[in-house]
Amino acid sequence: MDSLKGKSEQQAKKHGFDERRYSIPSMDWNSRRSLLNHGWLAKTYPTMLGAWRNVLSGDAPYDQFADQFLKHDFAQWERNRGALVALINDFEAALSPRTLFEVHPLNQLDESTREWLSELVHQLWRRRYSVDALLHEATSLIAAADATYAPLRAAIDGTPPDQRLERLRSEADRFAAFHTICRDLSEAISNFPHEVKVT
Amino acid sequence: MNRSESTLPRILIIDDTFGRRLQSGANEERANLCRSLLLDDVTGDQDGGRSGSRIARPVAEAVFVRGQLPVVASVGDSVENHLSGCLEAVRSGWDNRAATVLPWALVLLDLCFYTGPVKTGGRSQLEGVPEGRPTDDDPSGYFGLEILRAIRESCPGLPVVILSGKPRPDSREIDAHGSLGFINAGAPDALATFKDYLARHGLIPDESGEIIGTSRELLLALREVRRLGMFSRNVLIRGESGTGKDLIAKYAHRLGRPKGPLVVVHSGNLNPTTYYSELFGHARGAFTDAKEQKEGLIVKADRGDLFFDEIGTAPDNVQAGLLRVLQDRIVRPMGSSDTRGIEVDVRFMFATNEDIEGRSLQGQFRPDLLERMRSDGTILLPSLRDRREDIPLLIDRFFRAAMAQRPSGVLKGVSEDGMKALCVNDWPGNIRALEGCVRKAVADYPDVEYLYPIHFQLPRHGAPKAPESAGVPQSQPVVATPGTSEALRLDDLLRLVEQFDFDRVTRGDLAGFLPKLQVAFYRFLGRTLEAALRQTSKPTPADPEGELVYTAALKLLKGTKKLTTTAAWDEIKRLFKTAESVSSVSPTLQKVIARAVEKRKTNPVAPRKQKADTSSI
Repeated sequence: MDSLKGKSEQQAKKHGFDERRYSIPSMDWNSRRSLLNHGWLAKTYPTMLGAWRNVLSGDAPYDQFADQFLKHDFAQWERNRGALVALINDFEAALSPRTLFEVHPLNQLDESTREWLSELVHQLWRRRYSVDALLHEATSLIAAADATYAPLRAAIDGTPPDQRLERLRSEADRFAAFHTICRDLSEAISNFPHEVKVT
Repeated sequence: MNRSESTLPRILIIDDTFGRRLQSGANEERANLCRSLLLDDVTGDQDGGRSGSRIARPVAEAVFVRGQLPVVASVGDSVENHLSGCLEAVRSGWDNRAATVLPWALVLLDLCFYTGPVKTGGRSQLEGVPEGRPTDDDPSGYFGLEILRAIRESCPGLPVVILSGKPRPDSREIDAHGSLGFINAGAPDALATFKDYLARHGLIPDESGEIIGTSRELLLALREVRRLGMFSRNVLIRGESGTGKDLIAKYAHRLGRPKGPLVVVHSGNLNPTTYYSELFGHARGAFTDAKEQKEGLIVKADRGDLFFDEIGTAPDNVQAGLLRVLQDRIVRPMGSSDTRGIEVDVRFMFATNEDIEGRSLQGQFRPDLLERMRSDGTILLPSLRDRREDIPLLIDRFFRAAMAQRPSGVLKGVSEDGMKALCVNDWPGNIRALEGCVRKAVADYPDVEYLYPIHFQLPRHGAPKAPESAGVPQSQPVVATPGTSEALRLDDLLRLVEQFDFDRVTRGDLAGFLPKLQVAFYRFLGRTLEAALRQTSKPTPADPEGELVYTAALKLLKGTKKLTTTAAWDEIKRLFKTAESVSSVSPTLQKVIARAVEKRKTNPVAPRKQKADTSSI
């Protein structure tokens, strides 16, 4: 788990992102997932990417939307990726049945029993739900998204506004790949369990 | 948008995010969806801004509905789901037959609707979107599923597809409630999936303009044709005379197997003595005049379609030959010594306006051939009286065509009264008769500016339907003034029912048929009431057709002599208590029902408290 976190941070540094620890104490993990993943990553952001791809293909007009997308909206990835990484990193602590030992009645167990039993339950849960695999997939996709995003960002920033459309049309496949990675990442996060389970 | 102005499919999108209105201006998430799915937003609730730019070549027009109240939510408001508002929007584009807009081609329905208070910096930082409650996210309680169930009950037949950012939930849940598919709004292939669903499930007019009309009934028939696709092999097309079965065959050919020929066989025109050889071909010397080998029409249709009109008239030997070809796709020409025959790749489209099941029961048509003919599906073409909203479009086309042949004269168009007269006619001869009527008026009166009712030779009001109308189950006058033909028809129907093994029917067998059965049921009720009204009507000098006497008609139906006028109105309301039931009956009857509703506004009938004899209607 720690190595996964480290990998994510390395990727972030490599692509120049400001890796921060996002913490929203008032929201439980599922609410954060709902907001970030179902609300933003699965719906509004990829819808925007789909719209942009239609601008590139000429099916949709190059207008204010396109300007806004290039100046501001595409960069939502930079602004939200930290929160996504935090969401992934917090998953294990939030959804593990180990949390049940912190509340009644299991918090009534004597400390030594609680310690070994909670760790046993946690490890069994990790095995049963293939937690390593889930985390690995999500973290890999974050890294893949970063790797695809960075050259697109560079292409946008490095091209004068009046030449952008032509320049970015040559990046249509990369935009499509980024769109697909976002979809896969969203599905990977959706595949995390939805509740604390002991069975 | 007027029906005559646009034939772009019109879809309804029910979604809390995309459907909401903002105080600050345009809904950018909606604008992005429109660009992503290439939709033209015609909701009319946006203030320009970024959603102002329009797609150059949109796939469809879209109307957005939030499905919640308030539609424009501010910080401090509590957003709640609004089922009746959703259904009102759905019905406005489905049940309203007099509307000047196209029926919904498709409904895209979100699953998860977030409710609760709107706070500053709320969910996804989206303006007007509430925080959400834990139950909103519970797949078993998705509000979208509740809407889906309600649509299925009130508007069966309306195609609905789920549009969600959520992962596809348990398919059984959404499939069981009638969703035809699932689009992940953010998926890279969302546009391709949407286009595919629209083509296969949507109610869309014929883009070529060859088949004129945008009525729900016609669009449902066209959808059936598209669903057949290129892989169907045997299709039966049914419809009254003059409904355009040949155009439907052309449409199916154009969409399904355009690389091969469309060979048309008019069964009624073929000489009985050469019928078999025309169809299957013959070898040299097969009969006295067979001086050369001849390729049959079926072989000519190889890799394409063979449209067989008036199949009911095919003689016995042709029926037997056709059955063999339909079974193994091998043609054996008359007198050919080649036992292998000629292998063909042909799709057969058969058309009939006859009561072919009745003929089959009477031994006049092979039942095994009938089964083969409709093995891949049956397309039912609506009569013109069942798609009256298309009549103005048809008149316009026929008028212009007729004028093109007669450029001289002062004729400018059909007057409003003339249009009304043509629209209310029953047209037993359907489109062909309407076309003839318009053409004749144009030919006879080139020196008037506008055509009025007196210029049209309309079929006599109340004239009997074309006898072949029995070929279309939806239009069968099952209950009418008893006469020989109706009695025979009823007899055939009863025999069919008696032979049907209901015990072996599963729910799966009925999949897709239930909405049609429901429509047929209400049509049956409607015809029953119409027959009773006709039977009890009283001709007067002012109204030779007969004044409708509602109470007497209901007394006749209920078999009672005691019935008050108010009770009669209540019975009519009870018979047709849903919007779907009203939309399935004739315009005349719709007026009767509207009057019943008006007369008995404050007296809802509790059916369970009715006397036993009323439940037998």
